[in-house]
Amino acid sequence: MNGFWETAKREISRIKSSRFMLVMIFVLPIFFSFIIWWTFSAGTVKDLPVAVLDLDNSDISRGITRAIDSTPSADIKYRVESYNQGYDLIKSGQAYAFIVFPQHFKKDLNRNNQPKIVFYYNNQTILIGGILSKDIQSAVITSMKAVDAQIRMKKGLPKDAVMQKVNLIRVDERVKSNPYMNYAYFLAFAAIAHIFQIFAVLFSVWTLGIEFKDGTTKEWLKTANDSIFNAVFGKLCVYLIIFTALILFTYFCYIVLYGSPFNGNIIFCILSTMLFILSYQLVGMMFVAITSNLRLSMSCGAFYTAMGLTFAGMTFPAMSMPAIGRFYSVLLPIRPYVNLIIDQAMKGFPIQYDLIYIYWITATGLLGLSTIGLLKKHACDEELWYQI
Amino acid sequence: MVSNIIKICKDELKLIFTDAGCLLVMVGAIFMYSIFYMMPFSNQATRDVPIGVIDNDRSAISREFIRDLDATEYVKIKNDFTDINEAKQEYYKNKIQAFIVIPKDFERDIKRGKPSFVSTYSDSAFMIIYKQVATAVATLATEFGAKIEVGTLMKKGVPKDKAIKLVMPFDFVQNPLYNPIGSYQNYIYPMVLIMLLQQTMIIGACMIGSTIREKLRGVRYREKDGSVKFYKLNSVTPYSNNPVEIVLGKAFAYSGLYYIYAMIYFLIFPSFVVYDMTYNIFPMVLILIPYLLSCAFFGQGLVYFCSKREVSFFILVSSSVPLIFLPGFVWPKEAIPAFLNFVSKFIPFEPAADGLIKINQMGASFSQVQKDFWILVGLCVIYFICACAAVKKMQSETTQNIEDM
Repeated sequence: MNGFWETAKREISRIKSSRFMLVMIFVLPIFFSFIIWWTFSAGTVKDLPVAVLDLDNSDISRGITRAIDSTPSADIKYRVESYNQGYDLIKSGQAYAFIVFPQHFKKDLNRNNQPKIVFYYNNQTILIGGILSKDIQSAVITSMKAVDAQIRMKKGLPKDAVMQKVNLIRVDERVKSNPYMNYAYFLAFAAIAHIFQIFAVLFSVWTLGIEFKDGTTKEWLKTANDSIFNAVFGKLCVYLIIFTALILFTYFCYIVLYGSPFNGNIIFCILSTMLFILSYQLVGMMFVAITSNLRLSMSCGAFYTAMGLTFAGMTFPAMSMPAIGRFYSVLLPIRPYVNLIIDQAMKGFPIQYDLIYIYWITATGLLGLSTIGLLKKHACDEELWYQI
Repeated sequence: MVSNIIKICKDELKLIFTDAGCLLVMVGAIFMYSIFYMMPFSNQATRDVPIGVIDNDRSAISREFIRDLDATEYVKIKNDFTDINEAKQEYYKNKIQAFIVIPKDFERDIKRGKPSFVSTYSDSAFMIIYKQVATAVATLATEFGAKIEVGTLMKKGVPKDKAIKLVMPFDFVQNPLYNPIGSYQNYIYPMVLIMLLQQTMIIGACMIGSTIREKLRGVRYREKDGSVKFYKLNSVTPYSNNPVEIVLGKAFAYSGLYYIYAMIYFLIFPSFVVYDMTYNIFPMVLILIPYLLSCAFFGQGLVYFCSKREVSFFILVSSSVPLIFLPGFVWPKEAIPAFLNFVSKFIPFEPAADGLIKINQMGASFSQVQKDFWILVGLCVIYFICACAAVKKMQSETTQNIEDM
């Protein structure tokens, strides 16, 4: 055990001696997590600029326009005179959508000619386009039902019966987890996990690989009483504690200060977070063990972690990826971890349903650990020093 | 002056292709990442989300409703449960993403013209999945209600097309522009390509710069033949001591190389990767010039903070995710705090992504993205000065070392 503590002490004094390293470890992950939160801090999308081309200009078209304007996501900011003006506003990013009421809209309505309202929206921005299209559609359908009711009432039907008839099937939505549709809640856990997995791998690679680059592996092993386990875990435990503490601190801020939901088991989440970081560190170790070259294993680590968020299946569901994508995502502990933390924090699942994710994360860690013998062999080989 | 710049530029290109680390980042990563990134989204969109259904009515109409729901592209009905606990078990096991409850007396109420409630139990932790379920049920509820109304009217002897017009007094036509099928690939992939250009160039440029800094301080490197050599450089480049010449020479090398990559990304890739491109060439080639140059200056400027060869990795790999949200295509600019919007303008990727996506995917003309162009030109000036400062710092370290000796 002595070698373990000596290695840990050696690592701590190395970190302390470099102000730059301190900033990288303690400030950067928190800073990037903060930037992500700040970007999405509004939580929901409100008052996106929309243009309207009203060629009818009747009380009905104005009424529908008002109904659209009063939806939370849309704001009728521009009234344009032609199609081209509308397109230009969308192309230049000033408006996200534009709505066209045809000429004689009201007249056609009264003649029962079923006139068309046309809605153009920018779907390059899928999320924004989707929100606008959903909200505006429901506003328009509600107005349509009101117009329908008016027409029927003119024919002498009682008002209540009319309203019932036009709303025959209603949807009672019981939304769990994130009922406010808050995007910051939605992305927070996955994005934070993404940032930290990068630091877990890169620092593991850095701290082990630098011994090769500086030609100090023998000195390092000597400090650890020639035990590779002491040597590796003495180093990694320092970063394990720091990063677990930092990631939990970030979650804490999200949950307590920002009000992100948390319905799970705290101890279980803390332990699985630790396991998550450790498992990534061991994968980092594997890169160094195989390449015994700092720069090359940095590149491997960067490649391995850079697409973590994508493959976590948060933004684009893993089930919709092609088989090869799903297979690759199995190799990344972030996928089971994000599922686990979302199940726990937002859905409040019972623990037993998430144990499978623990096995999954552990398996990846063990894969990394299995190369520790190779690392020892390479660490004793002076021929591998000073490589760039 | 010009001949020095050309010499430095040539030397730099040679360096990129002989330093294994740079080669991997500035050539390998450019292709590896871009090809790898085609993979996750190649199915374009999420379809057929598995859901469960609890039919408490078991009537002809409820069965028809379920059939219609299953027929939508959004969801797929996987199980038919008898009670809610059974459905919850499957939900916990992640076998179904949501479930729908059809009430008893669904058919009777509808036939009497009384509204009936269909309950959806969904969870919005995964927003895209939630949206598919919500859209499917909401759209179907409206359509189904209308269908029944039309049927009732037809029974009363109203002709079908007139009945439809009576139930739906006007039509609402949705026209999604630029990415009509709502493909995730079209949405994310172009942005990833633009970001790859910036991130790999900055890592590479910074790596080259900090390697020189290491060598100026004196460092041991192992040669290809296995022997260890002690390097101690006396100047940043043998061709010139003028920071302006050094910075320009290197910047032309990086941005020239990357100009070729950009052409491959935007002109050749779209023909074999499924992503839309307008081939709006003139504004694209124009805006790429200040974009790539500002990245080249930025990377050289960052050397100021990176004294070790590998350090730039940390900053650039972890900054990609926060950066991708800022140009306003993932999350609208209107919802991003104003200060963040302002600061993000100083990162070349932001104005470049704004301009290039409008040009390449939305067909904007140069005048519609002029603002982005001029911001990038401004960034070139700012980061050119930073890059010169970084070279000055490196030169001052050299002289310090000489005095030490």
